[in-house]
Amino acid sequence: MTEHNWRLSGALRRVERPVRYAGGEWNSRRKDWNAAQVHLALAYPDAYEIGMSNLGLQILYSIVNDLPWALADRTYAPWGDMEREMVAAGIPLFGVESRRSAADFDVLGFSLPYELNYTNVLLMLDLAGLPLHGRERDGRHPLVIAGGSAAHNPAPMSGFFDAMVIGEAEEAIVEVLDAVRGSGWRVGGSTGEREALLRGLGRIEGVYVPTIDGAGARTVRRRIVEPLPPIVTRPVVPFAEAVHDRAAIEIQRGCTRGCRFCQAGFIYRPLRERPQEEIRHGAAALLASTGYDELGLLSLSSSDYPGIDGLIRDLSCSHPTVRLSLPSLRIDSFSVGIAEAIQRRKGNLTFAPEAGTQRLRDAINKGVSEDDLLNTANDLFSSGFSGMKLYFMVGLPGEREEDVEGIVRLAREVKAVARRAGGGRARVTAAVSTFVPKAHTPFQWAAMETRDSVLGKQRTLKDGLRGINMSWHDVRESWLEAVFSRGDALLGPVVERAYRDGARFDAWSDQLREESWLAAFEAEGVEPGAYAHREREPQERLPWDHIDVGVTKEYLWREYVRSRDGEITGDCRSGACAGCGLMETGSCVARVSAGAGVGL
Amino acid sequence: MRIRFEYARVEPGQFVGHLDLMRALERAIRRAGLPVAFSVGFNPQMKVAIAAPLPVGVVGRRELMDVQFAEDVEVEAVVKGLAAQMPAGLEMLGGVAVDEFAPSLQATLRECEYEVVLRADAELVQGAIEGFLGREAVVVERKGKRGRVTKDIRELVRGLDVVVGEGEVVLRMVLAAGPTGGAKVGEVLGVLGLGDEIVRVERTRLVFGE
Repeated sequence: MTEHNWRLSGALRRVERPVRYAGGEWNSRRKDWNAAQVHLALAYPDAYEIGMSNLGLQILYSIVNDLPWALADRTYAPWGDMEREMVAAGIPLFGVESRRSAADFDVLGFSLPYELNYTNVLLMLDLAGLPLHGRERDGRHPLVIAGGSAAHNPAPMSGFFDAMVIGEAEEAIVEVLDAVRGSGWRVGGSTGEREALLRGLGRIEGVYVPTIDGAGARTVRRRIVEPLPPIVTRPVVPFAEAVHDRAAIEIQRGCTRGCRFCQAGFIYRPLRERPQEEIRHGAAALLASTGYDELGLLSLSSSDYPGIDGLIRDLSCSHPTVRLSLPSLRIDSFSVGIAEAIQRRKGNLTFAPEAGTQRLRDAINKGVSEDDLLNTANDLFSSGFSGMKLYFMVGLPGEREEDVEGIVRLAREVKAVARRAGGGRARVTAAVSTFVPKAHTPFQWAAMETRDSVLGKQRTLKDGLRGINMSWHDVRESWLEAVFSRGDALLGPVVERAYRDGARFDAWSDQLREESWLAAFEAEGVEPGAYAHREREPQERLPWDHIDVGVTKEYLWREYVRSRDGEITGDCRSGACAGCGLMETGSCVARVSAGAGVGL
Repeated sequence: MRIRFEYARVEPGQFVGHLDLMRALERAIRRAGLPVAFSVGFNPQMKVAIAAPLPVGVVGRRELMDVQFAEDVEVEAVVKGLAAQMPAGLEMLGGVAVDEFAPSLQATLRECEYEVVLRADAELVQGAIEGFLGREAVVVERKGKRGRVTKDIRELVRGLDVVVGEGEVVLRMVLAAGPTGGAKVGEVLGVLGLGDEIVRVERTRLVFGE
């Protein structure tokens, strides 16, 4: 046994859940290192079990490993106990399959799903022995790139990455790796060649290179992949229980509903549906290659998928021992058909009314009616389901006291319906999150409510919802998210300081060290309230204006004004085109193929 | 029909916890498309029973697992089919049909044998062993259902000796196991004062009785 393996083995013996670092999972590719021309380490800045539930990473892993000339390995943020062991024993961050040091890869590609992962990015770079800042890295070091939802506002983390992929990365990742292959540079090579390579990356559509593009010298257009990439039929199956221990198929990407708080609904447009035949074949192959007994049909709004009840029925018939899960059901497109097609009735179905009154639901463009909700509850419980989970949000723009009281009233009415239709066993649970204004949404100009106000509302709900199991999101985390989601480059030094002060795994409530963050803001002379609680001016230049997601800023502003007037904007899938901007650029494939004209 | 499978858990799978291992075995059975039997009731479970959980970090050389099938199957074909679905670190060694009404592995387990490869001074280890065997009682603390409890494991350690190879010191143990209670390999190593010296821990054999 080599000295390195001996030290690693000793560390694994002492830490919690060592399987997080052990590799060897079913369907992991473990390709021959020397046979590959380019080596990529896909880095997920959170614990292994969180990273293994991320479908995006599985997609990129699969695509890159299918290339004969490339190799993709995986690495995750080591938990605190493992971090201490690694530092003490001199073990650098490593890929779980190859066991090679992250610094030996040509490209280190970070997924950025959530702003509260930022300190973990620095943790991983530090453990890899790499300089944290892009400007400090040279030919010896891997290219450090990033992509994912949070990268749509690249400003706060732009100092730490060499390049950032905006949008859907399935094609861009291959183009980036191909550029590396074609260049004269590999890790450990010449700085001049690495710089030339970086300049070349900036010419790939969707790639933002901070050291060259600066803070918005050039507009970067988001990558849109059409048609959807093939279903991953051989995903890596973790040993450890991932947050979602199931097979997953993306049945559609994008959304046409236009709920005004929802960033995903805007940054993943246009809507692209996966053909049913493809889903059926993919499901069979996926279940056979993994042995999972649960299959998730993923999208932003699953019950909107045309023929969803027929699809569920077919899948239930073909795979009778497999549980089907449908996150993201819409209250107004749920039907008895869907309820009956999901054969195994154990567990919850989840719906998101979000706001407690029609007025506020209309303002956020989630136009579902109370009748819709109560009918859905009735259908659900009469069909034999035992649980319904409701998502609500507090702190929405324009929210009044009666809206919060409305949540209590609504939840109680659903509970009454549940009792009547489902009997004593019927359970209603509520999860209350806090509104965070996100970039690239109509609410990107809105202010986040103060923490005290939010806490007061959570208390009101807790008192009013006795008898209904209620969970709520930690307001400290919502607040931090609000600072970073509309942050600029001045926040980079804040992340670094908080990290050096011990901040890690901020998305885990029991790990969040608020003192470190507050001290970091103060030391860097940054006022967090100016990011979270300040309403933006209509003409103000926003730090993400140089990122073109396809939906225009004018459209978002129009929607913001409409929300104040309580005007609903309809579903453009079935109704008129609302003119969000994708049609003009030819990116709205659904409408372009149907030959529909531009509306509004 | 009931089949008793013999399997090994080796690098890199030795850090998989017991529940995760059970899940991995169930998924392998599903991938192999085997007609395994399920328990009845609200939450049907696959009828898979093992002899004793393998502690995290311990390699298992000859582990046993009983699987109940819903119909008659051909043993060789089933062993081959399952072997093809084993993830890295799990090796299918063989299978044999057993009497459906025979008592369970868990109920008939009596002893477990372990080998611990150490990077340590052989004399020191020998000294620690003699010290252990010379004691009348060896009391350890365990987590019980209501806080910590103490247990005297001296009588549960049925064999303890050391073998010296080239550059390697191998500690061998025979520990009582099963429904009447047993000693844990980690506990014995703790009492002997061995931790950082461990290169590898292996469970080499399971011993059954009436």
